[in-house]
Amino acid sequence: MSREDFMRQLEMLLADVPQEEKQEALSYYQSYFEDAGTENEARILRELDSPQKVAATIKADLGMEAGESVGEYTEHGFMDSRFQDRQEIKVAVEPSREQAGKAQGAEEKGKPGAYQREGETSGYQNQGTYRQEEEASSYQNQDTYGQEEEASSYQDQSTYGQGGEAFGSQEQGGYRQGEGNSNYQRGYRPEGNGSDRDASGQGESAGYQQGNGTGGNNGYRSASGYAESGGYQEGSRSRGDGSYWEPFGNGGSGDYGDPSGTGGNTSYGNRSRSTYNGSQLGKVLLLVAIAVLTSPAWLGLLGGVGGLVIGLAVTAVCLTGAFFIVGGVLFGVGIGQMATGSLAIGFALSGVGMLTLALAILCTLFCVWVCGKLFPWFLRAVRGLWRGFFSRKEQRL
Amino acid sequence: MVFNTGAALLDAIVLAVVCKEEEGTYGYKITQDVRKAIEVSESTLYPVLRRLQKDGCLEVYDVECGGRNRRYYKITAEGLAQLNLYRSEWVNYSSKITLLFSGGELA
Repeated sequence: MSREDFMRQLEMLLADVPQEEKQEALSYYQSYFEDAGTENEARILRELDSPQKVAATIKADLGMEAGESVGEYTEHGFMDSRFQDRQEIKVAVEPSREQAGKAQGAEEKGKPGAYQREGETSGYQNQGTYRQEEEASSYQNQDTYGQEEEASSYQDQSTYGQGGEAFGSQEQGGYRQGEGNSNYQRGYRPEGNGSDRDASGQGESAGYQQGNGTGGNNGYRSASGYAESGGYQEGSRSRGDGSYWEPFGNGGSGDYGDPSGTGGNTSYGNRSRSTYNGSQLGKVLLLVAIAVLTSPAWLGLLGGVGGLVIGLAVTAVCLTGAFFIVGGVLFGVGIGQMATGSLAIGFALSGVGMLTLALAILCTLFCVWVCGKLFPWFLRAVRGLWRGFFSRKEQRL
Repeated sequence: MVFNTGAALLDAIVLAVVCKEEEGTYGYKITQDVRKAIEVSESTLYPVLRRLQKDGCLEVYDVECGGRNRRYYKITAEGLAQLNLYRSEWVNYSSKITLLFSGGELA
């Protein structure tokens, strides 16, 4: 999506926001892009995720979102639980995780079922409502499959693999001597026995302890970096944490790390987008199907209402015309009578004629009023309904 | 980062960032500055800035820049008071947590 597309869609989505707020938001993002420069445009677009999300953020802050607690602020921005629908990553990532397992040839103790549970059972996970966390942890799960010991809330969020990898491959398994949380170590030892490299590759506890204990906030930082940009590779690179990748790739654990890291994530990215579009398309198709199926009912109704309206309009016009003609004729005959015959009849006739003419003028005014006021009002109402319908639809998506 | 940043802390961070610029600062720069401290996405700060503006903590003005108007944010006296409140609350809060983490006894 280009910046222009983004702005256009955002403007459309903010159609029901008060004009002032809409202008504020649009000019903010407009100048945001301008200040960032074209070189950052792609990154910003990626991080903004979608116009729908930005619009929902703005509307939520204006209290326009229906329903309570649709989202909350987190440090990754406003997170809306409804966007979690896109978490089909679970499905998308699963095969690559298993692949990773096979590629490495390590028969880990974790059964598939076991690592599926990991991410969800973590306490931290449950607190966070945003999907990035899920991604982070699911990513981590890829690398650390089989270590079902990770009931710890930290573990799931912070280590997710490459922190451990970077550290581990430098230290070659030194993590095991690390200020041990015995819990974790138990988890890894079986893996570590396989080979040093594997151990270091999966040295998640090391990554965690290091990150937590010393200045290695990097582990965390990149965790959220990854999560935020939605693509691990980009995330780490844009944050200059590329160093993780080097040891990761060179350290020989790339054989499983790389496929699972990049492959898994890209597949997620594409997959989720397509399901997103898919559901949109599905809804449109469903609407069309419903419209076609119910056409006998609403076509008849529409025809009836249309006929009624047209009939009323024609009646009004004809009536007005008739009043003009009758009034004119009566007035003319009255004048004639005054000149030729009885003065009284002449006055009476021209009086009635003038009254009829006045009635005709009133009818004309009424018709003009209907055309000038009622039609625009009717059109506005239809447009409002239409817009309300569609913006609701977009919100649901 | 494993800790979530709540709305109040986000407000405080934004106020602190804006406060550092005597002449005021603009949306993109605020986001980049806040990002030096915490991870925020590009879409996080607009609602925060808008809310702080409505609450009278920030004032905005447009400055001509390269043929277009750039919106600048500047802290108000009210915003400064709010920031000072946040600062003292933070010292109180963080020192207790630090003490707890380092194994000290809370009074």
